Amino acid sequence: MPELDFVSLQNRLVQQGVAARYARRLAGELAEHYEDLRDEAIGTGFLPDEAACFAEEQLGSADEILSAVFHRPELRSWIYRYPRVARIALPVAFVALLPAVPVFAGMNHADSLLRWTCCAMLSALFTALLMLCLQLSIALA
Amino acid sequence: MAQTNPPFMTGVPELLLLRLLAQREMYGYELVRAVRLTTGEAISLGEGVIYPALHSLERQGALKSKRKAVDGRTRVYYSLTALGRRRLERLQGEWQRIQTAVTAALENPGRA
Repeated sequence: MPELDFVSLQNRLVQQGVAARYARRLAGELAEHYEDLRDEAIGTGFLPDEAACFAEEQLGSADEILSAVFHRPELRSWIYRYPRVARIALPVAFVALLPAVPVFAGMNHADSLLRWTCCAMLSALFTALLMLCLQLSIALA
Repeated sequence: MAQTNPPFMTGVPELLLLRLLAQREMYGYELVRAVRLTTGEAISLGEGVIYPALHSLERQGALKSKRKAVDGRTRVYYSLTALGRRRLERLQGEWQRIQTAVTAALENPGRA
């Protein structure tokens, strides 16, 4: 199995509802196992190409591995295991987190936000002074 | 081509994995070799499909894992937890009960 196939396997796992972190870990362990098999085969006198074929055969096909993962629902992400909960929890979480977005954005752009706040406060103060002058001129007239 | 395991093997890989890991911590490749060696190659686990089994046991709290760098490679070593030991004892008890019952039935089929 060429190394690129582990990336493809990882992508297929994620597309089928397996958590990305778990898919990455599984692909990593499979790649290490493949290396061990190939090294073992080379150590026993196989040519590199033959060793790669041997390792691929021993490891099993991507479909077999995917099937083994999908037969264990506990390995799937909670969104796939509890879709009804996800349908309620995700929008609620989104709404709850929405007000925090400006805070996080502000933390990332603190300098710009400080300048903008100072300008807004100065303009508000200037407007308030104008209004005060207007009120005084009406009252004293 | 390797002989495939019979269909009544459900649960046996889990029992073997727990039993082997009760002796010492191992990584996936080591475990596959150990299963072959200890069963005289009568049972061969799919090398790639051993990981979902290990991860499932870990998710259930029967195993724990840690990464170790060995000879320039990062290995994920699995070991048994207290829950895993209790599960192994239970599975071993069940296996021995079933084995005794099936052996008795095979040796004396006319007793029923």
